[in-house]
Amino acid sequence: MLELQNLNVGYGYLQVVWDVSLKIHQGEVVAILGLNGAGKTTTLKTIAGVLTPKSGKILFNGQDITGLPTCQLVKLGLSFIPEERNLFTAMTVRENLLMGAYILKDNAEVKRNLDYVLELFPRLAERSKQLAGTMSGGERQMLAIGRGLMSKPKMVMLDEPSMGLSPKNVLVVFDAVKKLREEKVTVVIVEQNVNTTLSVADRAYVMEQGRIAMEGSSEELAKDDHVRKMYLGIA
Amino acid sequence: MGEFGDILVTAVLRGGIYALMALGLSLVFGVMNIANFAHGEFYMLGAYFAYFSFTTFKLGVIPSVLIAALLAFAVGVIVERGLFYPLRKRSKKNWLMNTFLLTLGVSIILQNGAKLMWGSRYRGVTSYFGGTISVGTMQIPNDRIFAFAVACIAIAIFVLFLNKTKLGRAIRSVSMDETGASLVGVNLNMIHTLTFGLSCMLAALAGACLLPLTPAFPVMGINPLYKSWFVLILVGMGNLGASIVGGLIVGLLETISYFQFGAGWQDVISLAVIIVILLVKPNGIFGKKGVKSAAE
Ligand SMILES: Nc1ncnc2c1ncn2[C@@H]1O[C@H](COP(=O)(O)OP(=O)(O)OP(=O)(O)O)[C@@H](O)[C@H]1O
Ligand SMILES: [Mg+2]
Repeated sequence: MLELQNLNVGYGYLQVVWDVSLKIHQGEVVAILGLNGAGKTTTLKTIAGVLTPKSGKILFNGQDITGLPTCQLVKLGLSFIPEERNLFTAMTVRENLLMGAYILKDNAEVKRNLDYVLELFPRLAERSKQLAGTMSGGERQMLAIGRGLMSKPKMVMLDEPSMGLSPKNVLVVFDAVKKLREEKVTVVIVEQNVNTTLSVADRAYVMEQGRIAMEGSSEELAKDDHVRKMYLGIA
Repeated sequence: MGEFGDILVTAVLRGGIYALMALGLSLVFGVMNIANFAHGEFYMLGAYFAYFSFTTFKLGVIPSVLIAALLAFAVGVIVERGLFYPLRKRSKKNWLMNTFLLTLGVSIILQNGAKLMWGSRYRGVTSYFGGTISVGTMQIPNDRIFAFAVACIAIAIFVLFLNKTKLGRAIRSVSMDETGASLVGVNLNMIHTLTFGLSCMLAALAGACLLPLTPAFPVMGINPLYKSWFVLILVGMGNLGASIVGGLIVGLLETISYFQFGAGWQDVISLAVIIVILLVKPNGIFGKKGVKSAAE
């Protein structure tokens, strides 16, 4: 479904992603793990068209999407939920969600997706008239995820979705990921919460210093000594 | 009603137009982060377009005003596509300063273009409707009422458009978070062009419906430009709701000083008051946080 071929990305003269290639299949939940500054966010932003790669290719459903503007990717069914959230702070929760369905023409479909998201995150339903800027950090995170799902994407990329959430809401988010998996939505997830992530992901890539250092099924990686030491904190 | 009533009525009539001008200026600042110093020239174009539609082509008042608005929208779209769009593609560095200089250039070109095409003589109409109506002790020309009504209707439609339609919501979303907007599928280039066109259209509406009061001439845009900047500085930049209130406040300030100190003093007094307000509240009366670009 998504394929990266030898992707190199940087900021100005500083290159941070080196020769990254990976393949993600339809319906998979794939995690990208790595220490702070490994280049995970940079990789996702490049796929989403927020950053342009120096070289390399990005294929989505066989189509070359390298350098395509971000606004067109949503129409192809690719939704990116950034760690900065990028919410519309002076809009209500409801308006933010409706903006998530901006590309949909059919009002009935928008309504259906809205009900779906509100069921996933009941908290958002309680707060539908509140301005996004006045929500708590965790609520904003749920709103960002909800907004990203409003277009019923075929593939979702989540950057640290559980960041700043209380344990109960971390569960809510991971339940949402499980639900997406049941619905055969492809999910790419970047997380520091490695344990839980490996329990929902089918496969994972490990990024170190801008390169893919390892890849494998979640079970394999969870047993790997290096991963256990570096990412799970188990000696 | 007495003198107080007169002042209030005059202030509201004046302020309505300022609000209309300031709304467009504020919109472009909020959405595109451009401090537009060519805003007055679109007011000027509106006046000329209305003049020619009304006198040369003998169209009625309403069609003339509407045509002026549409033509100015088109000129705005061309300016955006021709100048700001290429600049945005090439670099975002020093955007605020570069676009500011660019708008100064646009202003000079439009002023001199108008001089070249239409000469520097005044082109006015004696009246759109003629007649007056009496409000309290005052006789108010119908044309003033018309201008005010157009301003109110345009502002109301525009606010509804921004708040209730999908496209309006998209414009607002771009002003809040460009990345967020493009992530949900909003085409930033389209929104920028549309926004600039709409802003020009609002300025032109003001120029067109004030034609019987101020005839068209090439540099007529300077005064309304300054007035709309007063408003924005006063209430804080990029805050649409506040710029409507701000228009009325500036109208009131000017009218009071006009009545109290005589003609010629209104700019001095209103500027002095604005300076004092800014000393106390540097971000403007309604400014909460600094404008997103002020730090750059
Ligand atoms: N806008 C930028 N300009 C310059 N360097 C940047 C920029 N954004 C990120 N970097 C650098 O690129 C490297 C990779 O950053 P990135 O955000 O991709 O890491 P990450 O894997 O997402 O880390 P984290 O787990 O902390 O989110 C870091 O060294 C960072 O300092
Ligand atoms: Mg990151």
